[in-house]
This record gives sequence, structure tokens and C-alpha cells, in this order.
Amino acid sequence: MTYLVLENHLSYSIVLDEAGDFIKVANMGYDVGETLTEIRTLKRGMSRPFQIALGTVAASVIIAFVVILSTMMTAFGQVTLRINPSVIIDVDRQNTVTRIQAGNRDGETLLQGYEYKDKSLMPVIDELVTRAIDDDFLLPGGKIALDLNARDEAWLDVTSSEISAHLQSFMADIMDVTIEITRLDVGTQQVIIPVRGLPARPDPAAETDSEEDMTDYGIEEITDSPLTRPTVRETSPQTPAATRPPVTNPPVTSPPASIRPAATNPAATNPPATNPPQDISDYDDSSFDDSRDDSAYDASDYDDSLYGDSPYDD
Amino acid sequence: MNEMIAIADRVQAAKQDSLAADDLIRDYLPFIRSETAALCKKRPGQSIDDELSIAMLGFHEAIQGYNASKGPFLGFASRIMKHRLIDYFRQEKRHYGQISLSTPVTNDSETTLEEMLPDEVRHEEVYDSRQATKQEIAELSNQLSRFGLNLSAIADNAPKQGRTKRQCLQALKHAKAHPLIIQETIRTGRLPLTALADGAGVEKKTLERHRKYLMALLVIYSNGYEMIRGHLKQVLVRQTEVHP
Repeated sequence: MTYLVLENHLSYSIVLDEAGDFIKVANMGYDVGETLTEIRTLKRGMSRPFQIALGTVAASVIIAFVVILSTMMTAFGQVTLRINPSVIIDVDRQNTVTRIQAGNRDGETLLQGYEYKDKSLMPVIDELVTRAIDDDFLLPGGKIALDLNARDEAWLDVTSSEISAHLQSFMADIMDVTIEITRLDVGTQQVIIPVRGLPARPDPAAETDSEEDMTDYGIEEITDSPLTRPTVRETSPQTPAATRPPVTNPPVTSPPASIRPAATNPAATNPPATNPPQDISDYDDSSFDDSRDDSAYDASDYDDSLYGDSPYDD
Repeated sequence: MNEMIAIADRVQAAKQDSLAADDLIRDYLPFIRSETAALCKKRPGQSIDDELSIAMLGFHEAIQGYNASKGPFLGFASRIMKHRLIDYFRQEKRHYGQISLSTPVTNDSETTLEEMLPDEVRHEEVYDSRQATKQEIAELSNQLSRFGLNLSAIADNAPKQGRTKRQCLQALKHAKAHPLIIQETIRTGRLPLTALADGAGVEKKTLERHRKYLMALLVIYSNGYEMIRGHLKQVLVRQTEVHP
């Protein structure tokens, strides 16, 4: 690059470079019209080392900002709400919902038109449960399952207890449901909370059946069935219903296998041993007189020789 | 106190007027020389011409960047000169260990090494060429002054960013392809910004911001000024080809 000296001042010269730039440079005793190959320009802006330092600081700030932002954007915890619609809720450190995804087709239906931005976890759960009730996904006796997943154990502890307490109080005024909270960090540990909602209308038929069931087979045997026993059961003194067996457990309509044969056994028709002994003195048992001829049933008339070769070892 | 106010006023005036700046620098030349000598640590009699030129450029920079609310001018100017001289010394370190062409051949001799080199330059041709260029430059300065422009103002108005400069050169290219635009500009002394912006496909605001610079280029590309155009020609052609 060459520079044509156009004008000289006491402290500087003005040169024209080949690219068409007019530049102020140090006047090192140049003549007008002289062509230069090297110039010393007026300082513009920052020095090179300062630019590098400033650039490094700026890059560090940007990197730190990106790291912090990505940390904030990453889900801190995840709550999967399963009613029938399945919905996956991501939350940040402050339990603010950052993303909601549908887990199945009903989940997509449930989330249609739903806005979760800047909302906390609990209101979102409330609103989704309310939507599920409105859309008839959740009916009385239904189940709300929540799977909690996060790396932070403290968050899991706090959130699981908060959700259970919150949902219990929220659902208590609405309907009977079972709340099942599962922590995925410790395997399949569950908390099942039956919630007694508004008193259900009495159903005489159902009540009779229930009575019969209880009389015939005993409630203790049903509730102790391994099929219905929860892994961890949380009872709440504030809610008497919580001390009952889960309302939503379907009543066992068929008796346990150990009881079923007794129903067809004639011996089972005998009064239970616990019943008080009946006074039979007033009964006329003349018709059952021993004078009946039962000779026809004499054992001697039976020919049991046919059974002599029985292959069964009795 | 009155002296400080007087300096501040003069500096303020020198910011707008290059001649006033020259006067101020001339008046403060002893100050500039003493500051330079103190920093150079050279023996009396040793030349400090190059360093003085750098210090004067620093003084000029101080005039342009001075803010009266931030303190007295001379202290500020002294700091700027010092920084520029330090930068200069750092750059000059590259030449350590090399012998200057101005070095005398022997200690007693007044003949320099430069004078001993075989001279392949035809001085008469160089002199003629420089005289012709000088004449053109004087003519250019006169013509620009008729439009109320001077080279210092044009240098201050020149685009600093590559993108802006490319847009200005695009406008210049359009004007070269349409000589009527240049003729009209020289005749009226006014820059046809709308025609240039529309024709070159660049923003009118950008051209308006660098009006003085564009005006100078259009004057150079009017009749005459072959020597200056010869200096610019190749690069301008290359630039507009690379960045159409």
C-alpha cells in the first residue's frame, strides 16, 4: 500500500491511500506529492492488547451467560402425571414449569390450548386435574398417579410431600380418588393416598352387597390380599377416610380360593361355631322317628368288591 | 485560572478549525519538545525529530479528544503524548540491531551509508512527477475550498468501517458510469444523494453521513487530476469488483 501526501500541517499530514482513504498521519517531515510506503496514523480507538483483553472478558461473560442460561433452561425435575391422559411436566429449580409434553393421545387432548408459561408446578397440576375431570378422564374412584424424577434427592423429598398434601386437600372437596406418588430415583417406592371426597349418595343395593360381602367373607381377608396391599401406606389423622381401605379398590366379588369350596360343601351349612347353641326342646321331631326303616341303606347291601382293585392309594 | 480557561477555549476552537489547531501547537511547541526530551532520555544535541513528530501528533489527538470537564488540558495532552511515544518506541524495537542508512560511513566522515548506495532512481523524472502531483493537489484543494471543504474535514469524514466504505465506493462507481452526475455535482456544488443512492442501491442515509468524503472523490473523478486518479485507480477497480 502506498500513500500520497496531500497536505501538511504542523502536527500531522493528510495522505490519500490507494483504497481511497484520506488519513491523518504523523508529519515526519514529508513533502506534498511525496509517496510513502509507511505511515504512523492518528490513534483510533483502543490499543491492540486492550482490544484482546476486552475481547477475552467479553467472550468469558458470554460463555458464562450461555452456561447459566442453559443450566436454567435444563429441567431440574420432572413430574409425570398419569390419569389416563399422560402428561410430562418439566420444572426448573424454582418449581416453575418450563415445558409440558403429552405422553399419549389423551394427553394431547388434555393439553390442547393450555398455557403453562410462568406458572408454578402446583397450580399446573390443579389445572390439569380439573381439566381431566371436566373432560371425563377422571371419574370418582379414579386414580391420579404422579411419577417424580430428579437428581436432587431433597427436591424429591420436598416435592413428593408437597404434592401429596396439596392434592389431598384439593381433591377432598371434589371427589374420591386415589393419589399414587412414585419416586423414580429409589425404584418403585410409592405413596398411595386414598382421598375421601364429598359424601357419595347412598346406594341401597351397593350397601346391601357390601354388607353381604362383609358378612360372608370378612373385610380383613380382602384388604390383606397381596393384590391390594400398598408398598407404603400413608395415613392421615385429619382425614378419617384415609384409615379405611382404599375406596377405589374394586370389591372382591368372588371369595378367596380357600373359602369358595365351603359354599358347596353341605357341612358348611351348619351354624358357625361361634353361634350360641339353640334350644331344640320345643321342636317336634316325631317325623324324624327312628322307627323309619332304613334297612334299605344297610351297609351290608353294598357290594364294595368293585372297589377292591382301586389303583388309588387311599 | 484565566490561563486554563483560555487554553480550554483555544482547544475548543482548534477542534473545529485545523488552522487554529496548528496555531495552538505552534504556541505550545516548547512544551511538546520538553515533554518529548524528558521521555526520550537523549543527550543534548541528539536528534529527536521523529519523536517530536510523534509527540505533536499526540498533541493534536489530545486536542480532538479533550473534554474540559475532566481536568486541565496540558496534563491530558502530556499523557496522550507519552502513550504515543511509548507505542512508537515499541514499534521501533523491531529495528534494533539494524544499521540506519543515515549512519555515517566513518566516525569522522559526514557521508552517510545512503549516499554510498548506487543510485538507480532518475531524480529529474521523480522531481517532475512530484511537481505535477503537487500542482494537481493544490488545484484539488482550491476546488474543494470553493465547495466549502478542506482536506482535514474530509479526512475526519472518511468512512472508518469497511461496509460503509464499500457503499461509498459503490456510489462512486455508479457516478463514474454516469458522467452527468459528476458534471452536475461540479456545476452545482451539491451532491445528488438520491440519484446516487437509488442508482447504486445503497442507503441514502449512509451517503449523507459521508457527504464530504464522497464530494472529494467525485471532484477527483471529474476532469483533470490524472496523477491522483492514477494513484487510486487500480485499487478502486479491484474493490468494486470484489464487492459489487
